[in-house]
Amino acid sequence: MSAISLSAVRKRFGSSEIIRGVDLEVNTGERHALIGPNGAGKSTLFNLISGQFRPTSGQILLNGQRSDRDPPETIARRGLARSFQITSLFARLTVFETVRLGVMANQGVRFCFWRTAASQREVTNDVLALLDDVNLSHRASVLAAELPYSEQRALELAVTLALRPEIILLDEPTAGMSVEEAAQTVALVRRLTAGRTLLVVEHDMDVVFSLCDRISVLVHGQIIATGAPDEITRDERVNEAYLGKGLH
Amino acid sequence: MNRYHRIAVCLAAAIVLLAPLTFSDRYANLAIRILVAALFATAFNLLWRQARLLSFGHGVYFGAGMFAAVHLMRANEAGLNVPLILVPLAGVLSGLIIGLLCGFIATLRSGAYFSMITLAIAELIYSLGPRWQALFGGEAGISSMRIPSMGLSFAALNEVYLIVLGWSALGFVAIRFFAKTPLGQIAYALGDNERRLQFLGYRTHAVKVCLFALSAAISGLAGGLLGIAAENVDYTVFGPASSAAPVIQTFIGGADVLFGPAFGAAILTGFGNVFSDVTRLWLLYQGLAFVVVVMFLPAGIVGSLLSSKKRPLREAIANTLAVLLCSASLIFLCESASILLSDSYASLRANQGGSWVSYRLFNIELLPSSPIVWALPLIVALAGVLVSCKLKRQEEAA
Repeated sequence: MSAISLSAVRKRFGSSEIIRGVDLEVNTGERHALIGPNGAGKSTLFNLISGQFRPTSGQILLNGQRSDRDPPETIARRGLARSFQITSLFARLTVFETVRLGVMANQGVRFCFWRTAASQREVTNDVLALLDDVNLSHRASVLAAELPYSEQRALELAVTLALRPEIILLDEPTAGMSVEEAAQTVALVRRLTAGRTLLVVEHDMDVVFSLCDRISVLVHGQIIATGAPDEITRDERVNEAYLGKGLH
Repeated sequence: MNRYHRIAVCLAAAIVLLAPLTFSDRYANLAIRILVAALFATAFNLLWRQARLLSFGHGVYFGAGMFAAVHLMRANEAGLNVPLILVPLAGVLSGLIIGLLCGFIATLRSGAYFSMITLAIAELIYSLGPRWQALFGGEAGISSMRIPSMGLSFAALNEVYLIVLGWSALGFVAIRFFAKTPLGQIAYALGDNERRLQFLGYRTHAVKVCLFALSAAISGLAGGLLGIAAENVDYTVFGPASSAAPVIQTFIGGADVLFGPAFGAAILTGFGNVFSDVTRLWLLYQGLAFVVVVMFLPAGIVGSLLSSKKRPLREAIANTLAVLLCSASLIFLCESASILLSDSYASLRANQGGSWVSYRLFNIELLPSSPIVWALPLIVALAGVLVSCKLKRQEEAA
């Protein structure tokens, strides 16, 4: 069974159709990349899968269950977590408190108002372990908004992972990073997503080829090819539409 | 702050808070109103400080609490016998229930739309007030008497103050504690980025309803406390003024500091009580103060004091001096204008054949045609502006 399965998904905004009949299968446990030129509809597809938008027509299944009519919070509770391309966290919260939100969501500590958040040992321990994983332990008490960009991305990743998701959607995890930072982030993502399903939008082909098992190419709202990295590099249509320009 | 400082502060606070127990009714009443306003503003600010929800209709929940308390006291007169100390709980309950209902509707939207819905609900209840005679008592409202209980007669207001103090303390502790609970933390995050919170799996509408209900319940408590002190209430408590009060007090005091709204409520209620005997223009000054604070001290008075801790004392004194000089001059001009433009002064002038006649202000005889009457306040205001300019230049140089 596929972790994510899209069939004939279409999304129309007013008169323009952004997603024009996408079929996509992401297998359980694989790292799958979604590539394509700017404006191909990659972010829209992410928003459809994670529940921010509803498809105009077509079906989306998560672990075999229909999900395209569910709101984001329901989809998140079913084990799908996503990060955002434009880092979007909580300006007035510290790094520790930010990650704690994810952990509390995961452990079901939501509508609790009879004890302090700090008194919950299991939650605190989990947060500290996650901060350690993304190398942010020394930043625990800094406001999220005051972190440098690459550390904000790491924090974004930590919050996403705090949900212990089965399926992870990452939107350009290395955007705006230097080569070294990007390499570090890739290593981090590879280590932390082991055993989970990953769907990632990424522009940097080095990142895509080093991280992912399979690649799908989205052009003008349609998937024109899906396959292993070497198949994709050999695919003529892909080279014509995108890779030829992208690689050189 | 070392240990001795802390003990000294606690002692001072205890003296200030317990002093009204010895006061006469007039000042015990003022102390009660200050505590009630402080609790109400702090409850209102639960929504704004945490979730960035600005309610323009919190008078509804305050009023609900007040009506509930007075109705319960009337039931007591008829023989129900609930001790007075428990009567404010009726306010909590009615605030909670009405808050859940109205909060459910209002929090379906955020931002300006949320504010508009709360405003509309308040208008709705306000217009319902005079029509629903049985519940709101029409134009006259409803009244009741406190019945002695637990060995106290509650005839004097300083005995009632004891109840108000106890419940307010509980309300403040609850609000302070709430900020540290998981739900309080989630509410904070909601104010920053609701969308992101949804993607973490939180049902944000439910979070907002809970927060709204808590805020309304504590507003209802504040209303209930005023209910037992005032012993009567009419529908005007749902009017725009009582919904505007916590907004103004919160932003003057400092919306992002836990006790900023309480401070704002305390000084505005205190000054309002003292100055409304001296001048008819108190509301004008309150409005001007609101504008000035929002423009020049967006963090509010307490917020600015806390953030300017590192600034030198000299600067703080100079700033205060500038504000005092300018406002003294402004107050003089406003008061003079209100006298000189009044009908009674016009008829006085007409009697004198149109020539300027002297008027009394602050127990001084003043003649409008003499230049010194206008030159002096102008010089005072100019001095204030000069102090402020000099300070600004020094800041830029540093």
